[in-house]
Amino acid sequence: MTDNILSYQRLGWILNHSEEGLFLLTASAKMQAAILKRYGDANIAVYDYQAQEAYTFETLAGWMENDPDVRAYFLQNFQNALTGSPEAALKRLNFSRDMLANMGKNIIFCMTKEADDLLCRKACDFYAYIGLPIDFADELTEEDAVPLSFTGETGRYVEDRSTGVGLDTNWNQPKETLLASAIAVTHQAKELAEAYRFADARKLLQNVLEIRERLLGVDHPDTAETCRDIASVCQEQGDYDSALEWYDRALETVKNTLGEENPRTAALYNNIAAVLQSQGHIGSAMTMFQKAQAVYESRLGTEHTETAGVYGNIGMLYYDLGDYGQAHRWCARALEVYEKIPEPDELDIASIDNNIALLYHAQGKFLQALQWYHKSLEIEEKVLGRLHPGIASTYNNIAGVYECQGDYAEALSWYGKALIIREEKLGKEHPDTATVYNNIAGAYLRMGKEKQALTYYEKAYAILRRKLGETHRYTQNTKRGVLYCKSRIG
Amino acid sequence: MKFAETIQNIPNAFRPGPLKIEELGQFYYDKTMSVRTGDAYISPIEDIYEACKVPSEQNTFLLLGHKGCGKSTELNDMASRLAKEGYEIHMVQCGADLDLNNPLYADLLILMGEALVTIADRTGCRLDTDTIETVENFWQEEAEEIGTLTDGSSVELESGVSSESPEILSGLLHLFAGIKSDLRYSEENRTCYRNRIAKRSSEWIFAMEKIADAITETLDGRQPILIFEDLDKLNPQDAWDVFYRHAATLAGVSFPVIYTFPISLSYRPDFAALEGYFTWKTLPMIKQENSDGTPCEAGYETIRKIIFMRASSALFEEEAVTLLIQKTGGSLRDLFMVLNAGAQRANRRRSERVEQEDVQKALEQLKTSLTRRIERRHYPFLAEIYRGNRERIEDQKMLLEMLQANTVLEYNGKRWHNVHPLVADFLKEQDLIGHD
Repeated sequence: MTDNILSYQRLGWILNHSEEGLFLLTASAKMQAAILKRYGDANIAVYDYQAQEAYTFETLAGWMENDPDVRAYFLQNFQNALTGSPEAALKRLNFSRDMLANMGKNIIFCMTKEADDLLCRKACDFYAYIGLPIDFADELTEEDAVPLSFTGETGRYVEDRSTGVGLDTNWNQPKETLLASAIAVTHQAKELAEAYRFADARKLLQNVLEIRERLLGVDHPDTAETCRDIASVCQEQGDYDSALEWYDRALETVKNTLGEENPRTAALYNNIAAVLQSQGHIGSAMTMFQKAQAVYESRLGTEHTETAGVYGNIGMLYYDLGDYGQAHRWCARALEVYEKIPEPDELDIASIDNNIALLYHAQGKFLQALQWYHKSLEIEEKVLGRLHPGIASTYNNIAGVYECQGDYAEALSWYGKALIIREEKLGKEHPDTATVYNNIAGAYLRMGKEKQALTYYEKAYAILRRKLGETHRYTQNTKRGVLYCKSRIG
Repeated sequence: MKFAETIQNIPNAFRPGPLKIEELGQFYYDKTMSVRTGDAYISPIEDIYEACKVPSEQNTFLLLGHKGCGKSTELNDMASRLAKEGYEIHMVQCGADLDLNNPLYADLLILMGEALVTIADRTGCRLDTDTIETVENFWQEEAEEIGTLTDGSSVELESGVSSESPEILSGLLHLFAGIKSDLRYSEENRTCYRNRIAKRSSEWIFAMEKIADAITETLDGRQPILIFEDLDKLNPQDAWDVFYRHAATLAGVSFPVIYTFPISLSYRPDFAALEGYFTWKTLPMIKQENSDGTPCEAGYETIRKIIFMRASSALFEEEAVTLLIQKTGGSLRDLFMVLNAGAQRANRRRSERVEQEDVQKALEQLKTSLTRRIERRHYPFLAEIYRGNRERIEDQKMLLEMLQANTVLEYNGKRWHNVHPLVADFLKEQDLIGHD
């Protein structure tokens, strides 16, 4: 990767993530022009000091006021603003440093290396406020002529192209270009969702939906795919009602266009079942899982990874129903399929290991439960890293085993690990975070610490009631905890 | 500003500027004095804070501190605490209102008057007719001469009536707005105003004292407090001309005034002459090393706490944080810049946390920036400081140059210095000093 690509990525980082700050871009005048041409359609404003106009804060502020909603302000050829009387200009820059910083904007000073050197040595006060420097080498490449916004991989450099996250779609572009941009932006949305920026991800996906609906039609499979992506983000957020709406919409399109027996239809059955399960609608969830199973077995066979996935899901539904015998059978079937696949996804195996552990756990077979949890954890830590939310689930489950064994200190330690990850990654209002609060409460209760338990039960109850509703079994379970603690405390 | 829970949020959590008042509650770490002064109970800011609450003959302060040491953040915190106790504080941003290329003490007195009128307006303070007329008439003559009086700045008053009407004070504020604009942009008008103050400064101070008294009465005995920011950026000679020659005037008010001040001037042998007029306080840097070269664990811990008040600890490898603190010498601004660059690199690696290699690469950039400011002639001087001559430094001119460039850092306010750790690394690479 050339240095300039790294510099473009740094610039993209600023445009995508920085809310305000002063930045310094060093490049020759020619290179500055090429860089700014690449961002031609981006939501930026450019002020060119080519006429050797002296820098004054008032002129700059006045210009910025005319265009208040852009993502960043580029001051091109700022080296020219420092000629004439450089001492005076540098002083003015120094003195206006705080005013520039307090404007609450991204301001990018573009200048030659010589000007950068002058600034570094003679305007230390101002230089100290530079958030990130971005250095470009002087060689123009073919790449520099390519616009950044709509072309596949390079589209990542400019994610934000309007006042927030989203596309300021130029509908005059060719259809192929717009559709290609939709793919690129979908990738970006998924990255945002992985970073728990769900609102931003949804906003991007709404833009993608608009493009696909306009160019492909409402009933196109790709449009349905975007609906499914939006649903997935809603599901991650714990917004299950919205998730179901979007999945249903996607399902209707896919059934109409691809038919009932298509694996994509099965995938949606599977997704919907998972949401229904989260909502506690076990019967409806089972119906949908069985529909998915039927399609997968018919179209992909019984030895396919997707089919194994549904087997595992059905197993966990039986677990929810308390039928551990059936649950074991389905999970074992899933594991058998995964182990036969030449290059299985290790996380699928970790998931099944975890589910089998849950079953042993539920049956009071703690030693076996811990063995299977640790098998799962080993894979997860290797593949995901220790701070991934997927790990939190396993920590939570391991804690549960220790709690059952009466080792509350160890249980709280593992709950604590799960909580750190979930609070940071999912936020304090997510149902999964509430689950951990609930579990911590349970541990305290068993230790005879009703007051601490009540604190955590109340926290969990408030979230679950808001997110899942009063009648959800998780909510009801937590509410029982609250009432019990209150009765004990008096 | 937001607490950083992901790598992507780090740039927004580590801005180089001071914390604003509304950000203090969440992000300000208040236990830094022990690693600044060496004693948790010795605090220049607390000294000023307590003095502001007690009427006294000498309550004009010069607050000194190196770039990025946290003066503005500490002043914001102090102002916030005083405000909670019912005091009215006005921060004057001199960089916004004055031409700091060409400052004069008279400009400060004009801003002082405006600040007091602003406080009076804000607090619903009643100024009597005489006071208002004094202020108006003081400028009226000038305004007529130069024709800048705008509609609304002159208000008909019935004698004996106090300024209950909001239009009256807003008229005065409008007058000051015009004067401030002239101070920045009109050399001719600026000269007129300055001459006016020069000839009648005691009259002007008297008028300001009357406004301040009225405010104090409104606030049940609490005096208004003024803070003049940005003056530490003044050219040292200009600052000296302003403060040394007009010390009696600038310090001649009875209400508390705090001026930020270029620390380089405190190295002048005649700086002591100011002590008769001003109380000067220095806010030292946070140190991460003791004067004998041993690490200052408390300093490391303090800076760690400052970082984790802004970002989740899960975002950092522990060794990365240690390296960051070690190599930025206690300069928080440098630390924040390196952290931002490190986070950007970590994000590019698709890592969820900043690791040692990210910090290492980012430090290289900072080192380049610092070493650009030193020339060959500076090397022996820097080497001497590094080798241990940290307190008695004879070449004051070079010391000030290096302090200005941030290549030498000062700690404890006792004038012990150290070479910036990255500059020290550079000197080792050049074989100018021994390797540890």
